[in-house]
Amino acid sequence: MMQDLYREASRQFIVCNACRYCEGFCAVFPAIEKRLWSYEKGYIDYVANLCHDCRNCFYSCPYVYPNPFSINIPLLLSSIRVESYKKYTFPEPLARLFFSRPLLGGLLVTTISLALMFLYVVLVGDPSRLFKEYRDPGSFYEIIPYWAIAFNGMAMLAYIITIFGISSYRYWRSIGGISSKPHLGFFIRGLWDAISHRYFRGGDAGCSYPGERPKLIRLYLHLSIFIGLILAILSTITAAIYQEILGILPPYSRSSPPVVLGTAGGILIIAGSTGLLYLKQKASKELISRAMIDLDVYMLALLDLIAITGVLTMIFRETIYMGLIFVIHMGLVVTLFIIAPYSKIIHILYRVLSLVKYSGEKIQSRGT
Amino acid sequence: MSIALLRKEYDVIIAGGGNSGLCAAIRAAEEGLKVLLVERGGPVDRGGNTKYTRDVRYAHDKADGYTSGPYTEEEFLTDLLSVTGGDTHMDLARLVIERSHDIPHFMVRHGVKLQRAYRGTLHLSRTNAFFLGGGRGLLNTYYRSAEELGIDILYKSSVEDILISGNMFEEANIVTPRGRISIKGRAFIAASGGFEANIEWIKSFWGEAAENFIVRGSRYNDGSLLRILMEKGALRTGDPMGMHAVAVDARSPRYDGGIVTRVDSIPFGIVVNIHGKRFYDEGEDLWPKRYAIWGRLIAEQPSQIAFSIFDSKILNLFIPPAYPPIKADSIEELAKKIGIDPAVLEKTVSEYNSSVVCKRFDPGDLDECSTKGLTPPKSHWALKIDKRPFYAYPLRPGITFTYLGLRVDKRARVAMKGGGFYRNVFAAGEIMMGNILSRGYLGGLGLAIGSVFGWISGESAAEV
Repeated sequence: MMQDLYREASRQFIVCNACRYCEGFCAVFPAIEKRLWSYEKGYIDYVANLCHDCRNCFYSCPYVYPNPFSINIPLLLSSIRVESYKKYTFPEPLARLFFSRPLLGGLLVTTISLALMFLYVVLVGDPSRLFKEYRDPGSFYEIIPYWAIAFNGMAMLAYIITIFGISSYRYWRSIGGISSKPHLGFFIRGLWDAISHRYFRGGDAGCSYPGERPKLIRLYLHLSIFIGLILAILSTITAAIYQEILGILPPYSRSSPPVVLGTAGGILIIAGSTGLLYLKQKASKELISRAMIDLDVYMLALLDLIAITGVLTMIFRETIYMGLIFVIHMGLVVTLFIIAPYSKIIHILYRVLSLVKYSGEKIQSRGT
Repeated sequence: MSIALLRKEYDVIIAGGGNSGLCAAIRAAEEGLKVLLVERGGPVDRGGNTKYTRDVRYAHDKADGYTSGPYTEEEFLTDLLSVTGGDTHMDLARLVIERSHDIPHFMVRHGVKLQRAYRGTLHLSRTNAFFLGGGRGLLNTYYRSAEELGIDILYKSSVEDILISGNMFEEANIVTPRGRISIKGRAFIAASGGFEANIEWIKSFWGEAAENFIVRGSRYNDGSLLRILMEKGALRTGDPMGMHAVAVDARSPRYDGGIVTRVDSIPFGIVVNIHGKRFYDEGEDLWPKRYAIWGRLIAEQPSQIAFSIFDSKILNLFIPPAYPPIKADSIEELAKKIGIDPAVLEKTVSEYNSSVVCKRFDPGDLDECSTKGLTPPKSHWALKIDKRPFYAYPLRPGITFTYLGLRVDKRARVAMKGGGFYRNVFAAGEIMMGNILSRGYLGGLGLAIGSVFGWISGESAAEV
């Protein structure tokens, strides 16, 4: 099955290379044109992770079914991306388990995390603290102590960095790195191509998503989640500064940086993930692998719920409902941390590394 | 478009929704006409041969952001005359070249994105503009424009018959998936392409040889409307054996192979027929100027098959087609694999090798590697075939479109056999390309003629 997938990729790449009509859309096609006669597995993984699922190529392709060449690059590359998530994410058996059954795995981790969170609140200390009002500075740490949040947060961060690091190394080695001397400029350029959402623009035409008519809506929604996540991280950092350095305990005023950043981030994540979920159900399912749909839907729903419960925590923070909402929010955040390497989050890693390689190869070929 | 929503009468009915039909429809609608466009394909495979295009040739006095330098009207005309050998209707050729200036503006105005051709397959970046996403991208954009202009479109439908009285078109009989309908029109534009997919018709000119032709173009281009118009008394023009045909891989699908089946290894090796003999100078001129003659050359060979033979030295000098070459460690083994007498092929290769004189090899330009005392000669890129493994591509004639078509005037009016012109019947695109092209082909010329005559027929329909 996997053998067949890579053989099929070679077949389609050779047709694309003979045609080249799509070369203006994104990085995928110039990367295909870099090779002439054959494509090895690592190279195919590299090309697959350059693909942003923009779909212009499918709607511009004269060789889609019913043409005998039957080309479908978005479907092919999304299938290979899922394969590459399985192959390179450490440890491989665990990755295979999660990426083969994304919804099941995701729901399992979500359920366990929420259950543990509630078990903790119920079994350790007085369960009635879940339905109390907390108005005094730092008093809501009665629900989950600050040290527990900080310690577990740090531990999970260390876990994620470790897994990401090993997986990145495995991926980078397999795709062959950059053939010329590595250079910081390649890395910065590749990173910037990812951050600036360059390939969500479909070569200035917009992207054929969710339908054939090119639009920029997917760029805005994805960017919204991206900026939202950064604001959420900044909110956490400023909150830590308030507490650890300035010695001011939460809750913070509605105009304070942690609350403003957190609320703005939350709203952006809600808008982006809700919007992408809406587009996803409108978009053709023939152009994407089933597993990738599940990975996307699960992650979008999780981010949406985290952001919604986060904003609700803020809104209801002076009522008796705050405790319950807060515990759900924390349970979902823990879910996100645990599942991150085995979820759609991993695409960030392989996408950036592929773009870094691409920028290296492109600069290298200039002037020859 | 549901049949129930169609009008009983349109200002203009257009048969064919490729580039020329769309240009006609858009121009006519811009002139305020109510337009019905009848397209043979469905929303995915609509647009005939346009979906296999990628660039358009047009005159421009200076580099304009889409091209790398000037391409004057004079130079355009010289190029056209050189491929056709002067056999063209000069007034129509001049008209196309003159109005081709406007093609990029028209495209951009209707939402087409033109790109800088940094790596076009044909290296035509000075003369041609490349559109983002190729022909299907162009079609998608034009179809959106057409919908926004209120043009009614019938998919999977074709004009099966037309009613003409005297020199006036009155009514079209259209077969749709939901049955046959008759619709009146104040004008009619034939933009339905050539007849390359009608092997029986091609056989009537080429004989049984046509069975071995591969149709690179659209399977829908069977020339049914061309035949109807000719039977009704339209005057024909163009060489019935004339066609834009290139060398394609013999393993290609019978129809709709498009660009990916074209074999570009020819100038770097030798080409032999089924008897193992060379028959034409493979290095006569730059490939973009010669690729279009090879379809016809192979069509004239026994069994309409030939083989491009080369060695591993040149493997990375051309863009591989969709199929891998046949590979062998010796010429003898290669000959056996492709079904040629090994002794003959070995002799052909060794005679060729011993005649090669190579002073300066340059795959990108006319170089100083040629044969001495060989018939036919190889004038450029002559390298010895001696580095194993050896390769072969089996070649067949691949027809893009045919040149036999309808005679038109400068207003795109279709001429009548008995003299004079129909008052309200016009033609655009491949169905009238024989007015300008008698033989040979220039990359991107089809779209230029289609665009200009598309506009003209749309404008003429508004004057009826």
